[in-house]
Amino acid sequence: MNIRRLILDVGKGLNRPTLVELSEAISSVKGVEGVNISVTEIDMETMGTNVTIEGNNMNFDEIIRKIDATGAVVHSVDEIAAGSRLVENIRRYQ
Amino acid sequence: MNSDLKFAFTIGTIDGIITALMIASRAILSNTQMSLSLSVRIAIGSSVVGAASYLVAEYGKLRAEERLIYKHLRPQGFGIVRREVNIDLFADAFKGGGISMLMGFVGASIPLISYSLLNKTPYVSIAISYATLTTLGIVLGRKSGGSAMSWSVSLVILGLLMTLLGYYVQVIS
Repeated sequence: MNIRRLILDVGKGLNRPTLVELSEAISSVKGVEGVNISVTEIDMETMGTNVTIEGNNMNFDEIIRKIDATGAVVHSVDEIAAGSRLVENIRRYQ
Repeated sequence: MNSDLKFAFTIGTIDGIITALMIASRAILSNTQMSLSLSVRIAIGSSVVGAASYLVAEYGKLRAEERLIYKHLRPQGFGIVRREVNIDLFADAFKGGGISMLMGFVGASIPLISYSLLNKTPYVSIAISYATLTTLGIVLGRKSGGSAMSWSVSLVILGLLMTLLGYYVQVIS
């Protein structure tokens, strides 16, 4: 499957890994072309982040493994876009 | 230099000076001949012991912190620190240990090697040690936002206590 975009909820310790280390780990995965990490919350010991990854034919398991290896934790996969065309999320009005 | 390495730098230097004072103050104050070789060996011994203590304590502290964070992030998990993170933690502790060892040697050398080289002028090498502690106290006081005077006086008192303890314990006489 050609995974082209992933949006992950990732938690990490305040000091380790740093955002730079986390982005370097994700960028090192074959197929990843860009990473965006936004901090969503901070408490005394941990930091919540929203990680957006885009690329071509990204290896999902390898990305999760690399994030885990830095000491960060993937809480959830919030969005995944796959296929030959990038499809944006369209909200349903209820 | 990050704060952990600054801590290693400070603790190594102070540990070196006060350990050397404790071990050799009897010999220094009794005007006993101390060869340069003996001074270097004491300085090496003191610095290696200090570095080993630092390494074990720092690694333990880093692992405990990481485990707590991991349990916080993954409450259903076992709180086990991953092997790759463990390696990073050990590397950080080892770096700090290396700096602590180097500065421990430098610190211990101040009273010991100055005494060996100046030859039979004990109070000069003790004074140089206290002057170094005073300087360290001023720097620490300023960096921590505290009173440089209080820090300097406290470190000199610590040096004095180690000198007195060393004099009565007589490790080397």
